[in-house]
Amino acid sequence: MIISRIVKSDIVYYQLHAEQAVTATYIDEEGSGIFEEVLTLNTLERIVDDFKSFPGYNLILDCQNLKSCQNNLKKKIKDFKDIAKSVVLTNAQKEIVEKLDLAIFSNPNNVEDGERFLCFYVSDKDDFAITNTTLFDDAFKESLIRYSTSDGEDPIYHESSSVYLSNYINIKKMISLDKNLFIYAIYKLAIKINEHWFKELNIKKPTLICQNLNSSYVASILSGFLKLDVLILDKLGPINKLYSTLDNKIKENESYLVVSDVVCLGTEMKIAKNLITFLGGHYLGNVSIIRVETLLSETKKFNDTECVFTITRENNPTNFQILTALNLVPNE
Amino acid sequence: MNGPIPLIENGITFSPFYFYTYFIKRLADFYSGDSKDNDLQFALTFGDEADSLISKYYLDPIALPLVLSISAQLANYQRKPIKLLLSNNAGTNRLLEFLFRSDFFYLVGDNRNPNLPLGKKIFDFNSSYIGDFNNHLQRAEHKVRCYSLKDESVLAYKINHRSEEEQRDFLVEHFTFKVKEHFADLLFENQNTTELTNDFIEIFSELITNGVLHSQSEAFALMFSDKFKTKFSISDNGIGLYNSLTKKSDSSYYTKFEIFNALSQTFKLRVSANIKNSVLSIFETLYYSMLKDRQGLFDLLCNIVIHCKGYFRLHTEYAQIIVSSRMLNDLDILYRIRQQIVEVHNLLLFGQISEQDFSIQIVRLAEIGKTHFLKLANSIFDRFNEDTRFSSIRLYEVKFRGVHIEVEIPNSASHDNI
Repeated sequence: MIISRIVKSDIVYYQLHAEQAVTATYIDEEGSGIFEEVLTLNTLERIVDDFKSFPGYNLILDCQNLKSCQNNLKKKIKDFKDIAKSVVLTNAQKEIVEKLDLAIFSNPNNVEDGERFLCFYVSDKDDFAITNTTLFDDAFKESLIRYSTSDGEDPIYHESSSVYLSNYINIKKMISLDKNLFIYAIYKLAIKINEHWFKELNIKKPTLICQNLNSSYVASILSGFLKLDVLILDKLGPINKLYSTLDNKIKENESYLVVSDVVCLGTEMKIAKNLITFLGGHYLGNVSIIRVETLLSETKKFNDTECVFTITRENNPTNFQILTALNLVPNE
Repeated sequence: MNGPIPLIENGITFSPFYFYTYFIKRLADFYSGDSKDNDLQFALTFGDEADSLISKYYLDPIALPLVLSISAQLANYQRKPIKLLLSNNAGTNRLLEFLFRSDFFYLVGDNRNPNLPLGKKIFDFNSSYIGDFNNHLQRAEHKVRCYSLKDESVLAYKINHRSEEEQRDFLVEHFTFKVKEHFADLLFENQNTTELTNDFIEIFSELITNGVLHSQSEAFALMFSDKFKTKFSISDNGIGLYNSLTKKSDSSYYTKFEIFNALSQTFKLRVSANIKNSVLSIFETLYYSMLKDRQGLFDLLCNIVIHCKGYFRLHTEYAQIIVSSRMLNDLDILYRIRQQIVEVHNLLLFGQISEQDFSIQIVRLAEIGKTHFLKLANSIFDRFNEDTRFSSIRLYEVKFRGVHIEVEIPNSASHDNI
């Protein structure tokens, strides 16, 4: 399975560390998830196989977060060169370029930044220009538009927060039909979590809390990437509320990270936060794939939260609106 | 000698040096003596029960893979486990505890519990001696490991259809994960090894791959880390370097046994033909690996000695070579030639030069490499004549089958006094 492939006009993009994390999580027995920093054979073999369906495309191999690579992988790079029109490595540590034996190429268009190459062309000649750096965001937006559904003209009633929504993002459909992109988004979330809570992840080993089917899907993959435990707190709402057995699930002085698929007004997240704090647990923050910023940054600082995609007034591809009866124009 | 052969004697550290110099000799004496028809017996420790309170038994943990390797060979030879006599008293208790906690007894016994190392039936011992320990804390990672393709039949199946080089890459990847699982905690112990972690893991997984792939049998390994050094020892029962070399084929820039033949003309040491073969095959192997288009043993050696400032000891059959920073100057020259050789290979791979240009350049480089290599080898032989104690090669009268490698790397990267 390849999660990070993004195709845009004549460019094919792969994030090598994301693929390495998949190798390290699902193929290696113990698994080191996103903490794996060395590129290995299996990962490149999988990508070469996948890339065979794109002959003549320009290939971007993003090496962000990788520190080194296994020896003797140069033949795989040769395979890429044979299939692709041209190959470029981005965000590659110099060690990787050396270990892949690519130092024989020197291209005037290479961009260096200290110990790494921002881009390194695997060729001596001039090559294609990488202008578009928002490949993932664009792909995710497209997917969001594709899986947003509205109920005709009628706004949708949102039970847990008592508001109306103009349209609704069908995460279940996105998970099933855009599986790879969605897992890639979870990978991105894992990287962000690791950056945000680096110290806590190493010392306290927080537990991931999820509350429904979608978020437990996200949490289960996150737990593989981050090597954390999962706790499913079912029936926290919006429809069923059943708090009778919570105190033997949440442990005192343990740290918890609340996982959601979409945070809209944050009602469910707040219920979880209150319960954790009430039962003596330590609430670290909440993470989600999509977050709707309903408040201005002057009003609230989002310090305890991470997400992959934010819906704001400027960045609202599906024209998502939260409505109440006060500003709703009734159908007549 | 009659009676059991003692492994560890009072007051003498059982180190790899002791193993090669005295222990193997003792085994040879046993098989050449009168008692050879009796079954071989080992005693873990040697000494009177009465002295047990003042006895001190020292074991350098990295000698364990060597003991396992030779014992596996002998157990195989006599077709039943070797009797190992234990005793548990004030003197030996700590030693027994260390061995127990390192999983030694599971590995050599007949353990079938899959959660613990599978027993290889090397020793036959009375397990009722094992116990009554003081519960000393021991690093969970200080364990003896056994790697074998036989134990992982799925793995053997997966690599079946691949070419030898692909098999190697595949296994290196597999063992990278294993090594990380087994030893990474040892390496994250201090700041300095943390920086070198990826190097260590890579080196060890390459060594294990060499061991299991060549030998087609078990490779025993152990990593031990103390305040100053991280040591790693791996030992296999394979066919050895000379026999591996006979399987290689000639190419435009390499003729089989060229260093071997060149050196054997200038080889002046008065030793038996067997010993000479072993020594020369070590040099031949390193030279062959220096010319290859892939990273191999030679690069590994340079990585250990030049980059990690460590010690590299390789033993096969009758001879051992010790590579350390003492050889740094010669090694540095060879390393630079090696880099040029790799570059020429890469230029060919990526189609930057023609086959013909490649041939001309590589033959020229191989010639330079050969000259320097012979110079290094001859100077090592000369120094052996002068002073055997500080020599870079050690020669033994008794054959110990397989390839046995010990690596010592200082924990501090800037530590130059090793």
